Amino acid sequence: MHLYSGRARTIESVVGVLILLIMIATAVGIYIISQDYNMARFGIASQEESQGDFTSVGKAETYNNDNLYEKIDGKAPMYQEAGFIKLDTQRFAAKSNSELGFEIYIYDMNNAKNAFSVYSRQKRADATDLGGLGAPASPDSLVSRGGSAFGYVAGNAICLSLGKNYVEMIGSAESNELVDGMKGIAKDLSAKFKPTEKDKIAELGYFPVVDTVAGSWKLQIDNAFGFDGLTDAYSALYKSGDKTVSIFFSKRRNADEAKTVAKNYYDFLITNGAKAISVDSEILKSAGASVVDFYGSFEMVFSTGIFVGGVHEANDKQAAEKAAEVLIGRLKEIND
Amino acid sequence: MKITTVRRINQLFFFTLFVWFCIVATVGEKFWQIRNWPVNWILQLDPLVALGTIVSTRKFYGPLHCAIGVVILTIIFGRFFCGWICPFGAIHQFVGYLGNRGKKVAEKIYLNKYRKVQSIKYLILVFFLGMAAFPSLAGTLQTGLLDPIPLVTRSFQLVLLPIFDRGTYLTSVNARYYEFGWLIFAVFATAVLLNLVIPRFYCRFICPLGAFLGIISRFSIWRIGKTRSACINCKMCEKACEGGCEPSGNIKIAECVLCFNCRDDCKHDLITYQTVPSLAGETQVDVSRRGVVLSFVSGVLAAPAIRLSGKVASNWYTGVVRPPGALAEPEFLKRCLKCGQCMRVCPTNVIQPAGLEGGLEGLWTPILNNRIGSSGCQLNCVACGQVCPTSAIRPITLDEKRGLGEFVSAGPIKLGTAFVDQGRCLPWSMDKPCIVCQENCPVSPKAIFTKDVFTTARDGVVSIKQVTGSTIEIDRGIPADKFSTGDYYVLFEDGSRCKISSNTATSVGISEGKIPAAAVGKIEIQVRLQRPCVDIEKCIGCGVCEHECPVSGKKAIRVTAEGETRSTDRRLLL
Amino acid sequence: MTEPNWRNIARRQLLIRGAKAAASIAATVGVARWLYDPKGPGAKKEEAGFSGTFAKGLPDFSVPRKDGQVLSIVKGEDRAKTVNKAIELLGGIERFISPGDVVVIKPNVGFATPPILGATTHPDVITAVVKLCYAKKANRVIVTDNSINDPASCFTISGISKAASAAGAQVVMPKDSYFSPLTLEGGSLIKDWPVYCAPFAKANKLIGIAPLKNHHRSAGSMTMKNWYGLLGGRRNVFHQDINNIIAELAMLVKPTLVILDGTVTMMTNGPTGGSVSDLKKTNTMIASCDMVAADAFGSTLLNLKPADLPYLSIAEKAGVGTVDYESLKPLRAEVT
Repeated sequence: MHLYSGRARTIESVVGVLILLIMIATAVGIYIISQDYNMARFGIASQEESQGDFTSVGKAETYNNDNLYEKIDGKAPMYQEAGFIKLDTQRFAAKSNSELGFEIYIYDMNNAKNAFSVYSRQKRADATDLGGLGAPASPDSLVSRGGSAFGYVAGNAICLSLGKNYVEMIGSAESNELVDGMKGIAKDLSAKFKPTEKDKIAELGYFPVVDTVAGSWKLQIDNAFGFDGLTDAYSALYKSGDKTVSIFFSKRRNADEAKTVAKNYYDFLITNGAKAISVDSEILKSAGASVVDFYGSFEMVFSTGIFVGGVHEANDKQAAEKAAEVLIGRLKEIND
Repeated sequence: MKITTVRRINQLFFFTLFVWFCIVATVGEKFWQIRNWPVNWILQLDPLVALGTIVSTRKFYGPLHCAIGVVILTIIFGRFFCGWICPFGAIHQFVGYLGNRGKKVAEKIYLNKYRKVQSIKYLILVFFLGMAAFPSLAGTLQTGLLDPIPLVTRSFQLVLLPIFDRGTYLTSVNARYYEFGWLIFAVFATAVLLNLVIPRFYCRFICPLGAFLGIISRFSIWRIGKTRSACINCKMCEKACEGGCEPSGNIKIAECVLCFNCRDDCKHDLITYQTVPSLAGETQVDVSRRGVVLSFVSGVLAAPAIRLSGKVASNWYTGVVRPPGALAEPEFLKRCLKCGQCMRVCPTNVIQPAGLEGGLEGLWTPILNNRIGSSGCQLNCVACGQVCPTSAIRPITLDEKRGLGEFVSAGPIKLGTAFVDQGRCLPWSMDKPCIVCQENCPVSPKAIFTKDVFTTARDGVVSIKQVTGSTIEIDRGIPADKFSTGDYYVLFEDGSRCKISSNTATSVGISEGKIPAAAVGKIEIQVRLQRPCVDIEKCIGCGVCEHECPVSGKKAIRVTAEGETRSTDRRLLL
Repeated sequence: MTEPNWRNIARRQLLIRGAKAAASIAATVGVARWLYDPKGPGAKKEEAGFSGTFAKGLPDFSVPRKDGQVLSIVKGEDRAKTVNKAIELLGGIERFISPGDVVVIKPNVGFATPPILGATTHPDVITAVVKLCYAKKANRVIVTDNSINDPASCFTISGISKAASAAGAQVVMPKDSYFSPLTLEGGSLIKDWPVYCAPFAKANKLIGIAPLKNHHRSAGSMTMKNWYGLLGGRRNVFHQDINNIIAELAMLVKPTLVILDGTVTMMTNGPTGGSVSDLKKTNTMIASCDMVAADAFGSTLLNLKPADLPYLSIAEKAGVGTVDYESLKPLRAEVT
């Protein structure tokens, strides 16, 4: 018997080849593993993050209440008073032209009302509303669907209110190409921050169905029109004949509180130099509305059910009264 | 294909893989940087790493599961790891081969014969396990000192690659420094050079991993052995025996590293890898029970003996600042292998192998030395925890390190606290403006703030001779231009102050502020100083301030471990 | 050796080896699975730091409250007499100690100073209280404290060791193993902090006996500050917030009874004193079920007002007791 027979040698070779195959498989496996990496694991985010036609430049930054002022300086208190949680920022440059780029600011405002409040209060005068975000076009649909996603373009900037997030994209130049690119990203973001049912702001639908200027809604969480007793005040522009006036309302806990707030606001106006004048409209008279002349513009305030409502800074008394009549009617409807 | 050839290819492969993993252990995403290379894989394969941490922590840390495979294969086949995979073994084999070239066959046979003292490695293993076994006494994991994988990893990462890089800067931008690197090198060089005395000296006499694998190869199904007793006893089979296991006679199975050289070298085809005991007889682990007991007891007692220094208790050394995510000291010492991965991956080179600062048991464990490297611990880096093979430094996320996201309430991880040495600080003791530390503090809001003071310069009290416009002529000579740096002011008798824009030996020029109408009498030349103070609630101990401090010998602001997050007994604040 | 024999051996050997190897592998895998820890150590400190078990809190040692028998103030020079009288006024020792009770007495044994300096609880009070406990058939009385200076010296030099042993009490010196990390619910300072727990584990009554001292940081060291002795670790960090830690200790510890010895009051240089000229004879012994009231009254002996000791109002807010001790209608007496 000779053990180093041909068979033994064959086995040796087969085992050898098998071992080498395992070795090669190991090498391939390791190479494959190495390809699937995420540098964020080491605390170092991937140097470039692609966003459509843009790539990220520099590091993403996060700011909290302690250091928000470092990024936006004097504007910080406005956000903080409205419930600011954190801000994420990141710069992007266009792949085609690195000169062209934008910086994105994503403010976590804790809830949709806070986000909408900072959005609406900063809305630029030359804003063009963005379609396709799921924002309802008419007050009618607002009542049934509620508002939760809003956006506009103004020059080089796009601003969005998406659920609890307020988003600003500030372009480096006023270029159509850039704005189109940013619009694409706005769309992606509206899908990413898809507002939920509880993000809906039903109050936006309480404005008169006809003649309310769509997209002109504003929400002041507190200190509305400089009066600290007026909180959660929604306002919007209303086409009263050929004039446009600003109408507002605030939902209170009960009718008594609404009455008190209306009275306090009236007193606040008088204390600050407004002069009481008579109300012409019978509807308004019966509703107990007050009109004052506030250094040339007209302010009107009333309460109906759980609502405080009124007209703010109207130039034309007639138009103001007409708008107030319609608003009272609408709010009564809602009350019922 | 000869099995010995396959073995050599395999050894070369694993050695290359090991070196590659060493090279890529730097932060970055180029293909030769860390990305997702499993740089710890060979450490994770090491069954002694698994065994040591199991003994010290009573837990089997998940990422070490590959070691189970090695254990199972060893139980079936024997010590294949030593002869086929171990990169340190490959080095020994190669150096031993070089050393043996040209020697006579009889001499080679003599060098490779089995020696009874090879059993020392079992005693070393048992000693180390004894040190780790009783946490209540002072469990400390010291296998890493001699475990070949941590040893060779440390030697490559902290010595060989940095030396290589000194000339080429291929794997790092700047020269790397490792305090106590020389000692690591001395151990490595000694282990390698001992091959010239006896080939595979380290594997045969010292290696605790080899000892462990030898013990578990006790029941291996296949073993090297003789098939026939008819043998002319030429001992050619021992000519190139790697394990020194005596295949010619009563083979010592636990010493065999499966090199298969004996099988190749037997001219009579008497040796095979078989499922029956060698017909010439075989012996399992050849070690005296008394020796084992004595070693174990020595190890059990050595651990608390080392702890007598109090370095893990109230006598902790202030400089033992551990990397972010490091466990509390007693737990840390149960896990740290001293492998050096964290020190090598650290992008700033601030993590250093300790000397005896943390006690004897802390040798080569990672500590931060802010005087070495390019900067302190970087705010946005958690690489060290990600490469720690045993979680002595936990793999924390950036959010945890910085106290963001779900870690807001826990706050950032503090490595220690910076203390200003007022006796060395320029604005505090030398009346020189500086505040480099404050400028460089990466924490937001800054953990270093300044107390602004005006203090009169040396010989700075002079009398006014005459005031012309914005220039004050004075009665006494002062160093020309010395006070024109923008940090100096004139204090008038009425308490008002003006900034000095220029000065000659006999006059000072004023830029900001108004000279009082009736400025007469004496003026004081004052320097405006911003003296740095540390807000201990904000300071995270990153050491950037210490690194940047221009007082370069002994820094005027230094981080020590008080206030570190990982231990409550070094707490400084409520 | 003949060939067939060799074959049999081969087969048997293979079976034996195979079985042993299989058993070893099974054992390895079994141990690995048993000890498997996929995640590794967590961030929690109790896992990484203290080795002691996590205790929920100290037991409640208090007895039911009886209005009008909360606080007693007895004038007199003889401590044995005054303390007996003070306890008698509150309803007698039987209100506090039942047969078979295990009582822990926590005196202030902070310093290695003789009784004459008044920095530690006077041994005469210990003797009197231990005797009272045994008179009501207490099973065991333990006297213990976690001293600031070396415990053995403190217990000996203060005379407490001798007095307690002579009266039959067991003196327990602190050991590292007697401390367990503890978190005070609703507290902000006592978090995972080692607290002297073991001596209380088997007790069901706790009497705190404190000398009346001025304290440099907290203005007064009385019955509430006495519990500082239960803190282990590097407890001096709490001096950064002395008033809150005293209040939290008072929330943590619910004693059966506290005794404040104002026979001699340390008016200056507290809490160590060092000279008899720091002391003033005030000849008052206070026993109380309300630590806040006891300390509030004690402050008057220090020539202070309760408002000078901020920890009193903090503790009152936390529901520990009443600062306005007069409202509790303290029982007063004088013994000669």
